[in-house]
Amino acid sequence: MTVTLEINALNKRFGRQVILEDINLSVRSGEFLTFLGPSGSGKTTLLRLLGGFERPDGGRIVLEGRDISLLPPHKRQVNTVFQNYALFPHLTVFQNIAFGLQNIGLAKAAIDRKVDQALDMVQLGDYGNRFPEQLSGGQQQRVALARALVMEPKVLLLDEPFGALDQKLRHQMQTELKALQRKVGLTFIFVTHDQEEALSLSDRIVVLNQGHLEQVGHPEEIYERPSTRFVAEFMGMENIFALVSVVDEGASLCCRTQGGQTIRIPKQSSRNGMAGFYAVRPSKIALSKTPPPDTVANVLKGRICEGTYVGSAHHWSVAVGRNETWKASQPLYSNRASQVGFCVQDEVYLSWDGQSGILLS
Amino acid sequence: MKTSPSFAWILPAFLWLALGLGLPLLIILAFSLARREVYGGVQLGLNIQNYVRAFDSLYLAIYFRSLLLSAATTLLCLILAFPVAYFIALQKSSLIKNLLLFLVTLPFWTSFLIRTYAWIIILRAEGLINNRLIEWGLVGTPLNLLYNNFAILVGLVYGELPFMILPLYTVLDRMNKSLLEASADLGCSPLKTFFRVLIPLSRSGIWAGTILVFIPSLGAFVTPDLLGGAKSMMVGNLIQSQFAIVRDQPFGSAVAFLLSAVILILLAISYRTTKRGAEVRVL
Repeated sequence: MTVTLEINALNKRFGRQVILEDINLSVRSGEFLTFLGPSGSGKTTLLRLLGGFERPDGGRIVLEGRDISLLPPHKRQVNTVFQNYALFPHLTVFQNIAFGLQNIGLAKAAIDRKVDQALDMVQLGDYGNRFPEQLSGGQQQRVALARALVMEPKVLLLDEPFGALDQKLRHQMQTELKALQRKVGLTFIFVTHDQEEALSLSDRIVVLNQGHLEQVGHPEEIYERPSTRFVAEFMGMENIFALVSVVDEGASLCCRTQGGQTIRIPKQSSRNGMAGFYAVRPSKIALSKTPPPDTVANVLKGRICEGTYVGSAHHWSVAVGRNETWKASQPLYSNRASQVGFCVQDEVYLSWDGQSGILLS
Repeated sequence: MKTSPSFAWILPAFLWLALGLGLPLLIILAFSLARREVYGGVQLGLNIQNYVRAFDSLYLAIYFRSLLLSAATTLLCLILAFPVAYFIALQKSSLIKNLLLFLVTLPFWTSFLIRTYAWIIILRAEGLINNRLIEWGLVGTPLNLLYNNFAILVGLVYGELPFMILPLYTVLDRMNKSLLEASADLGCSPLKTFFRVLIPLSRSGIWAGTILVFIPSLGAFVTPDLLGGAKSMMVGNLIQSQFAIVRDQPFGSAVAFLLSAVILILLAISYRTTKRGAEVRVL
């Protein structure tokens, strides 16, 4: 797969504050890449460095073999969809989309044709003569998208484009964006703090935390196999426990939590390097009143201390040992006997497969 | 649905304007159609001779100079004010912003008359500028900086500059700064961005500033009186001299009424040209 954009040892500081430190990343041609992280993680600064709105303090940004690190925005073949759309209020929708094309000296007929195509692409064919103020948030968003896409950039940057939209419109726009990206085949770099949005849209996700890359991987990888405690927590992982020891037992690793529980994990599903934490998703843990068969790798005994019904599932908090609370969630789509009849204070067994758990650094 | 506020809110101001502007204008209109008596008295009547006389070539030159000086003042103010307003609007710290705005309005704390006198001290033959120029050997004899059109222009620009900076600042401050980034992103160099985005988006501020600067400049009489010479009379001085020196109140009234009419027409034109833009913004 060809690499469109190469980021090498990129650094950015504001005054003494380090915003980005030693960022290395290759962006593949035609992929949908997402920078995911909480506010202050540096994801927007990284995007602004790619767009040319900030200058790096060190490192290089190479676009198709050309170092663009210090080029001003108007000389980069990269376009941005801004967070607040940034549509020109004094221009019509048509003029907004034509704005960039006029700068590259295209003939009027060619501009008109391209703008019309772009308007059709975002299903705003009849809105060319309106002013941005006359459009809804979702329509403005589409204009911003069309205005950037019509430039046929080598990389399209999207800075939390759906942040201002309500939930329903957001989902609709996400679906449209993904379909659009498949259709045009351009490289998209998308910034968001919403993990669900990142999972549903991306080919790959880059998780950022306090100015460094925490993990890069496919959505399934990031969700199922987070490599650090930060990524696990950010992806909504519960049941994260600090480990006091990890002992090699041949086929599997035997981990002991701070609360004194022993958990086993197959060797091949664990990563190399320092393991500081063990984690398992509540949905992978089964609850039962009777001891599960011996074939199950991990079994803990505890007492239910809280139960919450959330419609699609039942969440249980189970006190295990002296000071650990494990969470298990039971989906409510079937009538399995095991999921009915639990009450607070019940003694239960928690059980799950060895490969369901993961080790985190 | 918003209900319109009651007109009672504007009644006090309306009465004040009617009394302080409408009534005097009517008096001036009546005077302009009157005849001057021998000792400067006013004999009311319906004569247009004052208006005919107002179009004498002698006076046309004065109007032309007034228009030219006012236009030059407005243009210079615009050129000087834009970077200042832009600079203040881009400040991130609101403390610095407010401090700079305070500095812009600081001259208002001193009487306009005193500030204009100060320019005499700066510009006169043995003034601040000429003394330095001679001291440094740049010129042999003092430059004629005072009592001419140049001095009036300097005085007018100085006096009116804040009235251009403030409305420009207001529009630039309100402007979404990411529009400038969007423009750069779409291939505009900073210069192109200035003409394609910055200027069109500050149009309402430019209009407001132009009106606030051009109209007072056109009617100015303190500045040309103090800084101008005998050959650089402006229409304000003409009116003032007719009332205070020549004591031809009917002719002074005719010129004053013409000036008001011209200003009103200019305002009407500017209102019509900006109305469409204002409507779009409100939507």
